[in-house]
Amino acid sequence: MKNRQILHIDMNSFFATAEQQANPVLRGKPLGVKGSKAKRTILAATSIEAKRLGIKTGFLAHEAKEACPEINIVTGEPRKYSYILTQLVNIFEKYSDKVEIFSIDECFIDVTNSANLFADKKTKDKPQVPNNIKIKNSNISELNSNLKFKISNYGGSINIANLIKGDIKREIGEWMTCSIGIAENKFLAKLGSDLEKPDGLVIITDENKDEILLGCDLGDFCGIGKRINNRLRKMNIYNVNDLRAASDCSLQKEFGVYGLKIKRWAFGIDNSEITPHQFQKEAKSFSKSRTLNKNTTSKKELKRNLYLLCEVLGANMRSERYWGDTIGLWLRYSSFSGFGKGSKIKKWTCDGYEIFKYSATILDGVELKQPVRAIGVWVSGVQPEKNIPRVFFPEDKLNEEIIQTIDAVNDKYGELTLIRASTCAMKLKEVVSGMGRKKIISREQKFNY
Amino acid sequence: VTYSVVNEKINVLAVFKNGTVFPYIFSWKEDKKRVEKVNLSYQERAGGSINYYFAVESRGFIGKLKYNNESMVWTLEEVWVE
Repeated sequence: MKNRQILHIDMNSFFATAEQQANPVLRGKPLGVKGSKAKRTILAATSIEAKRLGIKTGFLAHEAKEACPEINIVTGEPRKYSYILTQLVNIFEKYSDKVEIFSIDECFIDVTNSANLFADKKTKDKPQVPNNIKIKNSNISELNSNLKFKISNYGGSINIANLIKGDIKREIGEWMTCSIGIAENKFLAKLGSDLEKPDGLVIITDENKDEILLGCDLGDFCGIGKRINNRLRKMNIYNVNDLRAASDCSLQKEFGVYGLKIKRWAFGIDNSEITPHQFQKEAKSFSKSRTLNKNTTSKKELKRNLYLLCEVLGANMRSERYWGDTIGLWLRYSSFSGFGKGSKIKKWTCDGYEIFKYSATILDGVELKQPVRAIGVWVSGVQPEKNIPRVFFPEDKLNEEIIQTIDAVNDKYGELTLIRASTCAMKLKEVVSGMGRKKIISREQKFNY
Repeated sequence: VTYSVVNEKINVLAVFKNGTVFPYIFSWKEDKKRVEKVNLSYQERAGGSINYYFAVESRGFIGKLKYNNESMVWTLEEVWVE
């Protein structure tokens, strides 16, 4: 079987770099991108310069400002990042038809079949490897000739990686950079792109694979987070060597099939396929959440926020043509502890008001022992609209027709042009909901439902 | 860096080429500004129309323009000042 050649492309500090691309004044300076205009919002991304000063993603905006007064903080624009992702995918598809979107700033590309098209003829006859390529902080010139030869097998992939870097700068902007990992599988390619930031290009071959893997912490592996790492530690597995030596039986007992998977990673083995984005799995759930402007124990205030979240969530589901039958609510208290509960309802819905009614019932049953700082709602058990049985009861039919009409008007004239009469008396105030895709309108004053 | 929200309709001389549009010269506060560089452009669907956004630079002026393809109106959305 032909050795696979996989590229993992990771846009460096994506949201922050995009903002620096748009506004040159922000370049070369510490920058944080916050999720909303709310005072207590967290930083969804920080620039490379801010990271060097210790300001990382997840900091509260005001904490970041206290820790680093010179930091600029801007409100993120999700539409900007979504559009850039579309541009990125268009660039990647010039080099392969197998492009998997891993997240908004990461993609895998399988170039196994196309790499040869981009290999230099000279390189094929006489292996030549560019000297600027780094492998785990070592310059290529320091590596042995055998490895150089092996890397030359990746000539086409290396050329594609360099072409992609050039295309990104030319088509999106000169400030945009990415780190690229090249390897025979997705796991190693992802590991490679994480090794050299920013603007890195790392190739992991059979020859240097062990050296790289053994030099990694288990937490460096994509798929081993804090919790799994802690559970591994409890099993006396502290490093890659320990994981390699662990028995299949004990890993399977602790983690199920996933235990065998992470053991294979310790040897650099990963057989997972690239799923082209056109065929990526359909949504499993939809959710919406927001951090409140101030902590509250008022259920009225919580319901007001919940209603707005539900309306936006319902609109998102309908725009993607999904229905769900399980509705859940979560709360985060001021102590950062949380509450979450979901329940299956007896019907399918994508109506924001229905979602609100069920989630508000859950809220009614909660005894608030502490002030709440954030609230979220989710709908799971979702199915594409085409799989949902049609409604028969006249009142449901009428409701469906009303929603369809509201959506048609809002599609043409903009979000929330038509709203429920029960909310008309509310004062409108524009806010941005987290890093979600859409703006919502929050309403103050009266709240009737 | 401060972001001032302007949201003013403006007159723009634009170039339409190969299915794309780019602002060339715009006037604001009785001053004609020639767009020296579009640092970033992106778009979003707004109801039945599309909004095109341009982060532009002109002799020290940095801001964001919006063009709506249905109303054919250009708006200066924000001005960014250091």
